[in-house]
Amino acid sequence: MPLIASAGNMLIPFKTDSYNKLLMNNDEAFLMVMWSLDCPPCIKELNMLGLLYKKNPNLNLVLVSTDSVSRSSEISGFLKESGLSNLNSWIFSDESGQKLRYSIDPRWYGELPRSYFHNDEGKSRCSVSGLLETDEILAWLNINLDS
Amino acid sequence: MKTLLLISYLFITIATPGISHATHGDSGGGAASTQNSDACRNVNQLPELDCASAPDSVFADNGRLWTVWSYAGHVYVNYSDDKGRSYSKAVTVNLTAEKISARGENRPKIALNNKGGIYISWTTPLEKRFSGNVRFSYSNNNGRSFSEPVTVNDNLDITGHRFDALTVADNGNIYLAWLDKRDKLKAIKEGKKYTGAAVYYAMSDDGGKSFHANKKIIDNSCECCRVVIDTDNRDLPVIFWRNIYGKNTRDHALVNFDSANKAAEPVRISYDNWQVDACPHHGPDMSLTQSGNMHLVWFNNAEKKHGLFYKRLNKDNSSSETFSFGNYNATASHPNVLSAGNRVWLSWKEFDGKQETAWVQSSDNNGNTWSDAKIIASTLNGSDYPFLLSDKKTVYLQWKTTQEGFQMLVVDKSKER
Repeated sequence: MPLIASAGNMLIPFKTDSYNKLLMNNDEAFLMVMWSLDCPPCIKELNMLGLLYKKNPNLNLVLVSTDSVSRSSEISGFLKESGLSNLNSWIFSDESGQKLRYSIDPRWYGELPRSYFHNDEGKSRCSVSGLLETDEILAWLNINLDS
Repeated sequence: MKTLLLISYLFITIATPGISHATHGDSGGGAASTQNSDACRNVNQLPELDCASAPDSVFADNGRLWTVWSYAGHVYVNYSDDKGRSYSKAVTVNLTAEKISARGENRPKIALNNKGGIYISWTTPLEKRFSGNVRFSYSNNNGRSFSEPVTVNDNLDITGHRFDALTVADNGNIYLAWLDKRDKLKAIKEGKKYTGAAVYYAMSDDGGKSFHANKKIIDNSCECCRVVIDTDNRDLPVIFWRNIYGKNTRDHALVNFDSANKAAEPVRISYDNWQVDACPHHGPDMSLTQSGNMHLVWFNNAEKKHGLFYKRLNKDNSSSETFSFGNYNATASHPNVLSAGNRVWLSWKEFDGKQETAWVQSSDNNGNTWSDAKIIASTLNGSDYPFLLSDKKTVYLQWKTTQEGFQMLVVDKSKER
């Protein structure tokens, strides 16, 4: 079985300055989803996102796992299973989880999945706690493709 | 001061042969965490408490502090006779290594009875995602050795039996409660929908040698928040957890027992209406008094009602107003509660963007009015949840931080109770 290696298979360490860099480097709308292997609805959500991404490769998706770095291979395995291994995926670095969460959103208490819809080149965002609906993402995608 | 330290050191050495000299700060200035350091990795020597990420502690009636923790596939127990400054050598509970859940909402638990019995539980995750078994072991020889661990859930499907909670009543009965997905698995096999998990419990009336058949308290609990259990003044358990009401409303429920192995109907405690299909990873806490009151704390994040909350359930089933505490804008989280007589203490942690702080607020009148909140300690690089505990004279806060290591911080020693 051939080994498929691409930049997307690598988990990028998410640090306290990563979110700002993401905002600066993304000149189009993007959906950032925070998730964990310890969260059953997250697994459901990523499976759904995998299917959605297959049908809509223009979906600008940023995945951030809040698991510890020691679970990297498990995470990569799951991303591959759910058809999301071609994306650039992030994993919380060894910095304090509290600091990392705060760097994204001081109002986020760690509930998962937690999603941020970024519109207008990251100038505005909308946060959602809990499982997203496919229709909700498609609606957002349509608005942002039109504009 | 030096003399005093020397005397206490000698006392410890004499009183507890085999004690190790690992020290832990009690005011934020203690030894740095050795987690992942060479001391933890040396397979030829026992790891120390600072190697652990999620410890649980309890004081015995004689003032001895017992702590359970895990590292690299083993659960360990050790004790301190100087309120956490130095600890005995660790004793291994499970001689055969297994996976142990020990992070955030999950950690091994310790409970003592008044006859010297030491009881330990933990969750061992299995291969399949979100699956696990509830494990139990006990010592009847003051912690010198522990029984061969047993699996308490009597359903052995590869599914979730996790988030264990443990208590032992004064009459010796042992209770474990946990979140169980056997019914979810069955429903899925039958093509039915099942939201969340179920709360199950098991009871032992022979000191942990055997358990009665598992019994279900309720279907459709939240599936990733800690469950808490304690025994009341009738030696019966009380269980408190985050439940799912309706489609996805994550509020809290509590159950009392009618008799030793018969639960009453669960009652809904919070009405914050947090509607979310998510894992809050943020369970409640509870402290029961001898007089029959129950002090309850929880976190919710509904748009209209969010933050940390306290409520007292009285023995006549009436309840106090809900009291909101902590600074929501500084991510006040992971509440804990302790009570003694009419006194009640609340603890939680906050983060202001730079440092994490452990807070305490107390009441002298059963939770009717509260003191100002005060900071007990702060840290810069991450921390475990704070936990309140008492040796009947002094109230302490157990707070394990990355930088300072395991700490037993003095919260309140001003009043005899």
